[in-house]
Amino acid sequence: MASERWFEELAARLDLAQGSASLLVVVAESEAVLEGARSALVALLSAVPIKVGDLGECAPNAGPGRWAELSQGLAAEVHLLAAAPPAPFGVAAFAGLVNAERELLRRLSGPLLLLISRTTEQVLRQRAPDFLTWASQVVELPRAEELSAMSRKLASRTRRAGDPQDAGQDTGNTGGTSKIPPRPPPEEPIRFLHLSDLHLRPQRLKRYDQDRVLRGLLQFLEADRARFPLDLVFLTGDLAHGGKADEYALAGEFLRELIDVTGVAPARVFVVPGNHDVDRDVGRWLLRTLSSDEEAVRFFMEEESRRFHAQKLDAYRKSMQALLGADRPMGLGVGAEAVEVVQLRGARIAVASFNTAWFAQADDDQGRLWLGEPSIDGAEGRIADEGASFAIALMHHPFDELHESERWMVERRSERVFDLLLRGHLHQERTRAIASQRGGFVEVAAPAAYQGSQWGNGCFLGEIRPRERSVRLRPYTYASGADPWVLDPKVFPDSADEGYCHTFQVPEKKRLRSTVGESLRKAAVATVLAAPPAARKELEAQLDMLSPPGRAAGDTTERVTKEVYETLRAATVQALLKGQQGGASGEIVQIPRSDPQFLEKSLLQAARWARVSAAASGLLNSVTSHTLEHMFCSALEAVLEGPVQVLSLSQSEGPDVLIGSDSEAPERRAVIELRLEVRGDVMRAALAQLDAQLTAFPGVHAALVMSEVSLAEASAASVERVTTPDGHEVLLLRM
Amino acid sequence: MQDARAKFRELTRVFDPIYKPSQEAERGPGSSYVPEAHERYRGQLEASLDLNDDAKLLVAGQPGCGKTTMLLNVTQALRQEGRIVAFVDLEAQTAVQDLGSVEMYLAAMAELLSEAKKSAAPLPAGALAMCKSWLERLQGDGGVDGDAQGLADTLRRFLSAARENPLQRAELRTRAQHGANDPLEVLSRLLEALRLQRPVVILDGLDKLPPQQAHDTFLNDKRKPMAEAPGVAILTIPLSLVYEPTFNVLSERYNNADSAVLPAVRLWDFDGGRRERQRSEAGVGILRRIVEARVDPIDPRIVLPGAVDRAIAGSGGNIRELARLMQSSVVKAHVRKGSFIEPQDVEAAIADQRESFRRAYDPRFLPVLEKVRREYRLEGQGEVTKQLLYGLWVIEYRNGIAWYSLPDPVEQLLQQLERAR
Repeated sequence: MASERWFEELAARLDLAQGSASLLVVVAESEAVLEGARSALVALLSAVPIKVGDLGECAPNAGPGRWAELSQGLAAEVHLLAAAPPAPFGVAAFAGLVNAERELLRRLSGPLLLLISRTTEQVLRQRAPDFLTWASQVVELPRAEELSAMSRKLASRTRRAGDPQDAGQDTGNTGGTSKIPPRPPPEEPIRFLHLSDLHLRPQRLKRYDQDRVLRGLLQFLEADRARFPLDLVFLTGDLAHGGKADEYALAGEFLRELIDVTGVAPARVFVVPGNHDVDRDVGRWLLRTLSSDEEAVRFFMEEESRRFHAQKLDAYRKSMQALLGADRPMGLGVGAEAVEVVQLRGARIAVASFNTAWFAQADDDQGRLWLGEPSIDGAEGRIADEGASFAIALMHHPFDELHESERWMVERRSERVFDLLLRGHLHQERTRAIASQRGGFVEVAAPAAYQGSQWGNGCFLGEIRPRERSVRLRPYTYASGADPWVLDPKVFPDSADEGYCHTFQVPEKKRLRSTVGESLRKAAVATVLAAPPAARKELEAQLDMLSPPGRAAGDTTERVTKEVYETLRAATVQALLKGQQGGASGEIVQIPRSDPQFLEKSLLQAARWARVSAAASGLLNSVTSHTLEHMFCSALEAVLEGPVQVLSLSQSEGPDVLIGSDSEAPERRAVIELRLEVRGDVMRAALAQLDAQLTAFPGVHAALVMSEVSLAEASAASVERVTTPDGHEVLLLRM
Repeated sequence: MQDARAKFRELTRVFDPIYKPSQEAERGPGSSYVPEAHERYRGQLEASLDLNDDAKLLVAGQPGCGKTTMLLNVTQALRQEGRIVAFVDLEAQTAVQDLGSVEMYLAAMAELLSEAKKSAAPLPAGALAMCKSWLERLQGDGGVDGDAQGLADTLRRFLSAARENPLQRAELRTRAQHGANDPLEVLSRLLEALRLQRPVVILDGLDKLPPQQAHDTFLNDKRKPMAEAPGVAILTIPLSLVYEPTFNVLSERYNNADSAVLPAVRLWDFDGGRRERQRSEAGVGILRRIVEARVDPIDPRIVLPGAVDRAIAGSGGNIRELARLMQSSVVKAHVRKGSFIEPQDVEAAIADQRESFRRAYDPRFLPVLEKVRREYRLEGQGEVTKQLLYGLWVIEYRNGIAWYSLPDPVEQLLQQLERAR
């Protein structure tokens, strides 16, 4: 087997290189598998046996110099280090560092296996080409399944060869089979139907054909109901063909029957419009597209701006509202309003219905459509605020059809927010799972449910298991035989043993609540505004945004801010994921305000996370005390049971942060003052101000938070108790 | 007599890309250095050093072509002539990824002071006092040890603090610029004071500057590094700089800017008129000696002659690449349980190398690679050119003119790609 040969050679190389400095780069498919790969390699090499010193994960600002120091402290034959610097700043800074410090690799006490993802490798090839020429080899890691198969084989070989005691120890180290906890009962899935592109219209000639296909579908669903009872129905656009009222009469009729045969309540049927749901006669005189981000923000933030474009969907709206409920979004709501949450078998499922057809008008829609970044942002905040454990997005068009200025961003955001993305439009089934450093989703494009019986007509049935984080798809197609609709083996031809169905795993994700997102946005603005020109230039260079010499630089503030925001956000999510104890449900565990020490606990926790995130972002050189303060607020909002109101930062007369609401008992409330400097007089003034506030809010907890970047690097955060001039006890956090 | 495994282990060590012959011998290159590898280039360099006591020279080149090794060797030779040579390893002393000119000059100063002390040449008392008072002002409080070595140690302490901590770095820069004199001026006066010993400052490690910063330092800034200081200065620069459109402005300040690139060992002789190449016996001989210098102390017969020739052809003349191929071949032989390195091992190592190129392959490379193969020319200053040169897809040679060729693994990959098309 190829992977065994691979490992044999790796082990031989490491064996020969023992005791001398050598660098071996091992490239894994993605960042998601690094952790698993590291432990698999430790297990494999230990079985050879080679004594492995696991250096863990590389800290964001540690390079070859630090690696060498670490390696000297360990009595191991081979060292193993995983590096997953966050993109884009972290990985660029990492590349710069390793390229500069490459000469220090000579101080390694033995061979070092550096485990990185393919993305990191690509950046290193571009930004640290010299560093890579110092590696004795750059090898590709076999896939996870092959690795685990190999370690099983090796472990059993060791067990057979060695004495039983040794073997027992071995399995203990590698988390062997004997210690697997009892299996939880299988999760009852949430079942859905995904239909798209029905193109219903009154037609004399093809009436019979249309009926045959769609009636067949209804018969099939009715017959299948006992075996596969549906919970949710999704229709991703093009219900009609020209957006006219008489077409919706047909669509309405079909939907009513669908609801009838499946038994799914109208409130659990979700629709979005497609390009054939707009009335092109109405749209003829309207704006064809937007040209900039600013225009998009206006269009999607102000309902008034969308008024005329909404009229193109009048027939769609009237008919669907009559059928499904007047207050349903159905793709006509934007941002938070696009999101609905349904509670099913203990899981909270969020469904965001997006309209990608605002600017659909003719056959040249490609590249003119907008979904609206504000729309995704608003949806994300709502989904997090609602505590949903699984999020589904519905849209008609694929990302490729969106305007180029938002296409990439919308896709990136979706990776962070959604678990399942359902779409249609191309009349072509397509399924894929996307895993990225931001998370990832399963994308399902349904084929046309009806496009004439001579073409393929199909749909998907699916099962969602939110706890297992999986989506299983069963593809169906129209066949003109006795059973009108049958399982389609052509979609997943390799999954014969799973009955031509396929199960996708959905990457874990952490969504940040809207208030947290807001604080991080402020942190990004503060960072960029406070960056001196040189630091700003460095940021731009890291983003490859420098304009070529001789050409005037445009204003890049907004883009840089956006990127910094994305980076801070990714770092915060990472810090939250790592810092979390317990909370297997995917929810961030919050400190309850019933805890008498809630303030002290949350101050420390928030300070720690703010600092970890700032360090993980790779932006340490640009982070100011101000940024840290905003990051602290966002972390506080994440770790403490709300409401947490950030009213102002540092300067104002009034309180800076208020915790709890007016109606609550004082011991559940707190007031916090934030200060940037650590000088004595600032502290005195702040304490006096706290006195004034404690008079206004008697009995509440109070704290003063002092942030300074230089301190943040030097020491751990600590909370002490100080007394105000009026004799109140106040917590003092130095960050 | 060592057993085969011990020999293989030793071979793996001396052929690792990280291995530096000079590690063995504390000062100057070790016994495995082959001076002919850079004969021509070194000749030119030494001529300028001889004739011009204020020469400012640049050294660029593909990764692994031997820049540092050659400079270490030059250092040793110059020291034997009695010249004061400050070989500044910027990497070890400063944070190269964020290098400011202040640290660069301070590091040079520290090295010069301790070299002056070692050479026992009298450093004029005035110069020493000047350095001392400057350093005291920089430090803020008195108490700098009097002799040159003491000053050098104080400077190094400053540098290592600044290397670890960006805040201290910023502070050092501000202080050096506002509090005291310009460090370049102090360095210049020090060099002036040592004039009789014909001082040479070698700044090795500037090639580790990130491309953008290198561009800013050399092409945007009016004050080019070391250009205004007296004495000889040799600076390693990143190859990317040579391929910048405005690189030629440097020829006003540096004497050899138009021939700064240290080429690969010439595996081929090139006839510019007929645009043909043929194998160069001299070049192959040099590369063979480079391998022998590392193999012979271990066991002269352990590598079969055919294997060395295959590895030489596979390396394209890049010394580090040659070492890497030899190392991989040793691993192959070990896995095969052989006791000699045979041509089949090298062949397998070249195939691995080809696969590694395949992973980094980008369709934009194809037309450029085909053109190199056809015409031995590499054109343009774009990203692709830089990537190809840095990634050793294309090897640069010079005899009078610069010309280019593909190493064996790339050639193999190209053929496979064309067949698949």
